[in-house]
Amino acid sequence: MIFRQNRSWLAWCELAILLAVLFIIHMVYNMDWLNWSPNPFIFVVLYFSLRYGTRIGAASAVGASLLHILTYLQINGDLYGLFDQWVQAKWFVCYWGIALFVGHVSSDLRFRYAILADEFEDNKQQLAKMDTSYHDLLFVKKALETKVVGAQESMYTLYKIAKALDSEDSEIIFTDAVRLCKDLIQAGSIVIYRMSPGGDVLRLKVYYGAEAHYPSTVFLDQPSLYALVCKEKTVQIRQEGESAAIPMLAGPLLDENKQIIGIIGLNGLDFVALNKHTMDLFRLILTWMGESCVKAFQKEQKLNEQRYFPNTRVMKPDYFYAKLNEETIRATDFAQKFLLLQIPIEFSEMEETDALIEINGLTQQMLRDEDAIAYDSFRGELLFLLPATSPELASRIEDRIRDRFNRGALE
Amino acid sequence: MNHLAIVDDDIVLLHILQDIFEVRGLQVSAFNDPVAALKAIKELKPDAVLSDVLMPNLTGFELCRELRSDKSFAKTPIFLMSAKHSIGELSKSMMSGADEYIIKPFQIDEIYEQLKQFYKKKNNPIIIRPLDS
Repeated sequence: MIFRQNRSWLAWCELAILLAVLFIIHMVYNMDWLNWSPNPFIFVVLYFSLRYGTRIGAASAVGASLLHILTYLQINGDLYGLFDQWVQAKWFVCYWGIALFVGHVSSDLRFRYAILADEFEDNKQQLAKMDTSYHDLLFVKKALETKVVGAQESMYTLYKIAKALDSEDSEIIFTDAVRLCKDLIQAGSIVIYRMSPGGDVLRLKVYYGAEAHYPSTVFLDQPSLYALVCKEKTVQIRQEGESAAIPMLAGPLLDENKQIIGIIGLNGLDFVALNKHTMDLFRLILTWMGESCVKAFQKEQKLNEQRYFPNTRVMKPDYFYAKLNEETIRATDFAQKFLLLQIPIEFSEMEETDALIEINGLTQQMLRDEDAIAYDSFRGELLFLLPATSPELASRIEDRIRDRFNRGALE
Repeated sequence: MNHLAIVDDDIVLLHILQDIFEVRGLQVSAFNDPVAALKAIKELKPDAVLSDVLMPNLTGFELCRELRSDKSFAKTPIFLMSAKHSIGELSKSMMSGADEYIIKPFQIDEIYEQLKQFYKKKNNPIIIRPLDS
């Protein structure tokens, strides 16, 4: 950047001081400037003309001329010979020539420089505006990208929900619902209860997460979050002071008649990530799952003839093993315990059909809605599958079953 | 329970298991060829069978199914052991008629206890009689 001195008084002071210094030197030391070659006044004029332009250059030429005359006057006593001889007169031509010519060139350059500097300032301001606009555009671009990605994610989420819950097997739907709540809502703990046929009790169906203290049965005649969900049939939040075993958030699974078929409870929620979108997602899962369950139950109802031995709730082995497979998946993915019991059985003097009806009668009072019993003739065993039950209870439960059979046979 | 048959194509593990169970007082018949084992086990009729799953020519599931199809093995505990821990293996082993599916490595004492319990249970079936009897 070229130096620009805009304070003109400083230039005048500079010129006055320099001329005064030269004058004092001349007075004190009686210096004969005129015999110097080159003449030092030439440099004074040249300096000021170049540095400050025509006006100060002319002033420096006036000052140089006066000092020249003063010096000549002191040396020669009069001024007569000053303009007669070209040797002396040429210096005045030089002073004024340099002042006018160099001063003009300097002023012209300074003027051009001023114009360029103004253009530069304009360009700088334009650039600053463009920079702001560019950052605004970047922000808009990012926001649009987020919107696009969000829309794509929403579509993918919907696809995931649809794919996961579009099953004709209610067991798979329950397992996938837990997986969806875990992946999409990022719940640390999930529990799903199914409503008993009587509508007064909830039975634990599936659970996942650290809160392993979910009760296996919830009685709805006692006030609780579950009872509130059943009453309001909407998503409810845990009240202050309620036990940690109660989910923070619970919502109903409704059938086509708006009757409750189950409840999903969520715990261990990240409240930073929890927003309206998450709540909408939870409601969507509840609605979608409710509809899928209704379809699956209807389908299962039709399949019951194939699934169970005639006139019993004793499952055929293939269906039992499919259910066992689903429980194994839950045990692997969600660390949900289950109990598998194998009890050898012999039909003494009885046909298989009659024996199974009798077995059905003896066991139905003992088993929960979620439990399954099967007879595998190949193994010669009765098989019991008790979801959400600790394997440590195996011997106690087997003793109870054996006891029930022994009493039944004796009665 | 006195007589145990062990089938495993890994000879080193087979002999280790044989020695360990013999120390516990069991008569052990060890086989490293599953096809030969099937024939021999049907003749020997051991009290319990412990078999590997992944073996050449005949898998543990197939061996188990063949034995369970024989009525004389209805009360014989058959345990399958495998290093493969995958979903579906349990129900697959159940369908083949196995009583227990054990993941390697395992505690010998626990397996021995389970074999004894299953032997006892298998020989103590629930007997269904007509209600009017």
